[in-house]
Amino acid sequence: MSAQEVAGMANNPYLPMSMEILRIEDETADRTLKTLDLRWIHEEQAAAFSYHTGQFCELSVLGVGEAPFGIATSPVEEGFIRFTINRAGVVTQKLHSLKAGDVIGMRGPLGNWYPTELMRGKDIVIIGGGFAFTTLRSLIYTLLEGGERDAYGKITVVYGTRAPGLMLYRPDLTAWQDRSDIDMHQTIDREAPNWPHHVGFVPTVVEEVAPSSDNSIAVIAGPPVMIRFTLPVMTKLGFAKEQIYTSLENRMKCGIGKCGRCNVGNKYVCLDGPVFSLAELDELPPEY
Amino acid sequence: MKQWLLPKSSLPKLADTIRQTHRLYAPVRLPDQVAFGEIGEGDPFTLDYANARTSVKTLFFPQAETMLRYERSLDRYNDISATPVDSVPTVVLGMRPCDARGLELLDRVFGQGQYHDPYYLARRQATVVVALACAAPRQTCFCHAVGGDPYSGDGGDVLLSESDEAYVAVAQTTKGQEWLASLGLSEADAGHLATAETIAEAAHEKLVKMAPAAGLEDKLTALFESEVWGEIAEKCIACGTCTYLCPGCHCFNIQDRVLANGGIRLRSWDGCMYEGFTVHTSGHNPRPDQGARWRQRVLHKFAYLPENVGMYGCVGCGRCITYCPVRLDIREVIARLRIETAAQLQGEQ
Repeated sequence: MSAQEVAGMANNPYLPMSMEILRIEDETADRTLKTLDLRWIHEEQAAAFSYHTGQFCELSVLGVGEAPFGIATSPVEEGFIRFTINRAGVVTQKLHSLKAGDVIGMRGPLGNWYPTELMRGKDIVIIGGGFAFTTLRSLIYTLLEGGERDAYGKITVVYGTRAPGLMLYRPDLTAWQDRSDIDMHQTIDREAPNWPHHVGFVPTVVEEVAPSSDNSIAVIAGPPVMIRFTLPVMTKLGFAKEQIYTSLENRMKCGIGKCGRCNVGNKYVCLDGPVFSLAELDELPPEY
Repeated sequence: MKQWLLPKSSLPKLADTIRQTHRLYAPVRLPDQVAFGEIGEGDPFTLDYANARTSVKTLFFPQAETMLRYERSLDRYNDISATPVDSVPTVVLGMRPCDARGLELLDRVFGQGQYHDPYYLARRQATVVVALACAAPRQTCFCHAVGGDPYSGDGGDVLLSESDEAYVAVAQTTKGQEWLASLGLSEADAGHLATAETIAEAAHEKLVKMAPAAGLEDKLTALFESEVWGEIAEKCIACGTCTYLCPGCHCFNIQDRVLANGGIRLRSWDGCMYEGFTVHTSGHNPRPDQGARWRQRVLHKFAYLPENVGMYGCVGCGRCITYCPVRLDIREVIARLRIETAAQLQGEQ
C-alpha cells in the first residue's frame, strides 16, 4: 500500500461520517435512555454503508468525544440507523442534549456480528435484560423481516427489565407479542398495575419457558448478574457452550484494534468481538 | 549485497547531502540526554552515543498528534476533515537496532489486518531508517534475549557498523539499497570489513548474560490467576514511565480539544499502567488493581503480541529499567515468571 493510498480520506479509519439526527426521543420512562435515528448527510456514504446485525459504531460529538454503541436497527431497515443511548458519561450526556437536525459524527460499522448464517435451519432463543436489548432488537427484526423467516426455526424471546416503563422499543414488542411466528415473553422484576406479561427475573422466566436446546442457538445480552444466573439455566436446558452467544462491552477508543485497551486476553472486543460464543470466552481470561 | 564505506569525517557532508532531498533527524547531545532532533544546516549531531532517552518511535508516532479538525459555524458543525498525513521524505540517521525493531513491531500493529493507521504508515513509508549497530552494549541491554541483536538490521533500511574511523553501511531493504547507491560512497575494502567484524565480535562478548525469553509466550497465560502479579506490582507507583519510553508500546487515547473557531481530535500516548485506561463509565474496571495492569503489560508484550503479530512487544532496549523510579526490572520479572511457569507445570504433573 502506498503512502498516497493510506493517506486517502476514504481509507482513514478515524474519520467519522456526518450524520443528521432525524429523531431523538426518550426511550424509557425514567428518561435515562434516548433513542436517536440518524441519516447520512452524504449520499455516497449512505450507499457505501452496509452492516450486519450485532455490529456497533462510534458516535462522536465534536469537541466532546467518541463512544461506542450497538446498532439497534436491522440492515433490512433502509435509510436510517438507530442507537439507544444510556446517559452515563460526558459523551452520552451531550448526545442526550441534542435535537433533531443536529449533526454528529459516526464511524463504523465496527466489530463482528451475531451468527445469523449459523442460525439458518435452527431454533433461535434470544434472551435480553435491561438496555442491552439494542442489538437484540436488530437481530429479531432481521430474523422476522429479512424476507427469510422460513429459513429459521422457532424464535423464542425472553426480555426483562425492572419495570414496564424501562422496556425498550415498546411498539416493536407489542407487534411481536401479537405475531404467531415468534414466541415473545416480556417480564418485569416486580408486579405492576395492568401488566399482562410475566413477573419475575429473566433466569426464572427462561426456566419456565424452557426453550429446547435441540438444534438451537441462543443469544444472551444483559447485565452481568442476569447473564451469570441465566447460564446455569441454559446448561440445565441442555445448551452447550458452542450454542450460546453473547456480546461483550469493554472501554474502547479506536474501535479498530489499535489503541490497545479493550482486549480480553489476546482478543480485542472491538475487532474480534463484540460477539463471542461461550466456548470462545472459555478460552479467554475473565477480563471484562 | 554491497558494503559501502562511510568515513566518520564525512558525516557533516553527508548530512548536507541528505538535507538537499530529505528532512534529516539524528541524535543530538543535550545537557541532560541525547535526543533525536531535526538537523538544519550546520547543526551538530552525534553518532557516538549509547542510546537516546526517548524511543525513536516519537518521530513516527508522536506523543500527541492532531488526527482530525473541524470548523464550527453558527450552531451546526461543518464536516470534519482529516489532518493531512506527514509524507515528507525523511532520513532518520543512527537509531539503535532495538529502536528499529520497535518500528518493525509498530509496522505490524498499525499496518497489518483489516484496518491501517494512515498517520503512522505515511511517516514510515516516507522515511529511510539508518540503524547504527551497537559496538558497546550497555549493562541494561538485553535485545539478545528477546529476539534481537546489537547488529540486527530488522526494521531498518540501512545498517551501519563501526569500523574504527568509518562505518560499514549495508542495505537491509530495497529502499535502503537505492538510497545508499545515491550517496556516491565507495565500497568498503577488506581491511575495514575485517575491523568491523572484530568490533562486532567484541560487542557480542560484552552482552550481559541472560536466558532467552523464547518459549515463555506459550506458558504465560496459564499464570493469569496467579498472585505473582500483585507481588510484582507492589512497589509500582503507576507513573507509566516504562510505557512512555518503550519503543514497542503503542497504546493511545483519542480526545477532543475545543479551539476558538472549531476544534481538533487528537491522539496521545496512553498506557496500561493507568487505572483510567480500562475503567468503564459504570465504574467497573476489568483491571481493578496494579497487579492486573502489570499482568496486562507483561502478557501483551510476551504472550499476546507474539500470538497476534509474531514478535515480542519488548525489544530489550533497557529504558524501562534505567528510568523506573522504583527500580522495577523487567529482566527480573521475566526470570521470576520463568520460575513460576516451571512451578506451575510441575504442579500440574
